[in-house]
Amino acid sequence: MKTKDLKELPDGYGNFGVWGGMYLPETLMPAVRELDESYRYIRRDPEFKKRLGDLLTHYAGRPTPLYFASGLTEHAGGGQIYLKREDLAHTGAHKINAALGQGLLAQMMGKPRVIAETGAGQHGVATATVCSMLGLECAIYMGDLDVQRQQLNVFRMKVLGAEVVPVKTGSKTLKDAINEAIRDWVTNVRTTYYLLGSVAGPHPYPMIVRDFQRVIGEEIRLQMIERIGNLPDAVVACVGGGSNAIGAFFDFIQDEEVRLIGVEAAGCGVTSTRHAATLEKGKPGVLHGARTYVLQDDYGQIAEAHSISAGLDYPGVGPEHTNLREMGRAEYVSVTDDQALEALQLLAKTEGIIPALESAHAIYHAVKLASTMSRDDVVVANLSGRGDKDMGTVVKELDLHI
Amino acid sequence: MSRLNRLYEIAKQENRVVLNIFLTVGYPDLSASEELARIALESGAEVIELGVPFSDPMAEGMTIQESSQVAIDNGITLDDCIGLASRLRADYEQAGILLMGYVNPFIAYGLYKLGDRVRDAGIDGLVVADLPPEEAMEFQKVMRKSDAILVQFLAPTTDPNRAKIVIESGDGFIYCVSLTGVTGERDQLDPGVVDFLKETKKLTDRPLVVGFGISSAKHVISLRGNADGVVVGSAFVRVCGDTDLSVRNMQAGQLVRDLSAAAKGMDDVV
Repeated sequence: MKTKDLKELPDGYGNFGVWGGMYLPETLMPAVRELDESYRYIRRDPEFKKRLGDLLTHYAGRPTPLYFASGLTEHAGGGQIYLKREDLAHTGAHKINAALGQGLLAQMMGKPRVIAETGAGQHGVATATVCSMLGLECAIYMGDLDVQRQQLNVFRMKVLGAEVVPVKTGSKTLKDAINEAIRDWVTNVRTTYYLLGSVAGPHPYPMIVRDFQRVIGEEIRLQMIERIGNLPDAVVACVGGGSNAIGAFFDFIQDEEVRLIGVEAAGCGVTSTRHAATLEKGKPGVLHGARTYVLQDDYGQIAEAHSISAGLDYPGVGPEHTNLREMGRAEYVSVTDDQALEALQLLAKTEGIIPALESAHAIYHAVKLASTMSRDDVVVANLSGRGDKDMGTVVKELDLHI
Repeated sequence: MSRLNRLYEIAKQENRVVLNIFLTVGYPDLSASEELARIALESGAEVIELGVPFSDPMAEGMTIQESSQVAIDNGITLDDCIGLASRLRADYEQAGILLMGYVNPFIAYGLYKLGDRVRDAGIDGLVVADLPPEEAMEFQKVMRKSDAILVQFLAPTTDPNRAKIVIESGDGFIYCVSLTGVTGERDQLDPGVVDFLKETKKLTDRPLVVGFGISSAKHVISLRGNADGVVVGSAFVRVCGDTDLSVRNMQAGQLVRDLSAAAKGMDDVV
């Protein structure tokens, strides 16, 4: 397959090559087919495009800056590192892009109620924000473990008027929050829009969320050309389900000279059982409606993932990433909990920016890559979110005393 | 004619509803499942659905979710489920035996191997909760080769055009989901279920089997005349969990006898 053709995916049934699809109970099938049709129609509607464009500019604060990180570059001692500042978007992460797009979609489809899952809480906050602004009822499913480690975001969601439902089944993290959101959706499908936050899940979500996140890569391209008159040599982004990464990568898929590097969470190490490196250590399977790589045992039971960052703590990965890897267009590496913590402190000390623990995975690899590059080379790291929400974890892990 | 079709044909002639009992294999443990399946079959169940435990069962309510987790913790595998099916088949030649589960454990096992084992064990079909017709081609092919069916679902949300496509793409009975929701016991049947069955009847001659939320003899009675079969799952699984074995076995037998009497139209028992 040519790289040009990779940009035409998915097909009408949601397949990226042999990955993706819609593995769902029949009760939900009419809903995803309807969503697919409505979306394909609404995305071309000039009124929709105008409203979304206005909101992205005046509400979310786009375009977000592309910042030359001179301190970090100097530390790496090689190529130049630029940071795409998604942490400066409203609510503090890239998640607002897809929440705005889908919130408008829900409203135009006449759905009065929105549900969403959240891991780190950033997608939950973004969804609660958009629902509040558009006057939609909102319930957020969140694993009980994540409720504890991302308390700040739980408070934010509540202040925004959302109902936060702690999920106490299974591993009590993102995977289980998605299960519970799907069960709510099966029950309330006629009135409820499921506002999925990642490029995982059944078709059409991997397509819809990607399309709303593409703006990240489109801006990087324009900003790079303006700044250095050229495209970057590499784009680096963290991958849990993979929404910020696909958003950063998509516009460069045809530009084969631009390396696209996804960074998974290696947790306590990929040779341990406590990690979330799905593409590196998983096997083909079906999870949450999509055929993709999945962390699982020999019998097809889904494994519990682990990462210090709640947003990467997921045993699946978006099907488009699986396809990009299989086609050799994107590379995927992994970074451990300790390395992410190190990168968080490094960015705080060299640039005065505290990244989310998720984004710190990308920062770590960007520094490592830059250190092997020459001074003329340029790497863009997607700084997908800010780190306020992680201060509790960081204080505990680093044993800081105040 | 396949065993299942014959079973539904005879039931229709005798004006009764076929009772399907679902249990989670390995809950509370494997030998209990075998004992309880035998009790169900001896007490009037004509079809037994063996639930293959899965870690992330998105269509299940709490009862079946929790039983699945216990089964997984007990180390139950798909081979255990097939082994149980094969032992039941040896003693119950006429019973319908189905495997019910989710896509991932089946594909992890390997579809071709699964097809062979299904044939060897005398399993009549596969019920896969997260496998719509759009994704079912390979499963369908493998099951046909093994003289088994891949059961198809219709839901209250399925519109008539889609229903036609679903109906035309398979064979055997059709699993009609009684409500928009997950499995689990309910006090009342969904008020729309009878109309849903009547509308579906207009589209097909295939037997219609109703599941999700069917919890009592009263529910079964109100479905008579419109359903060819009923599936009772969570209500039976709840009884399976009783820690007092003699109470458990007695209650399981009683529940199935009550349901079976209702399915046969012996209304005086209720």
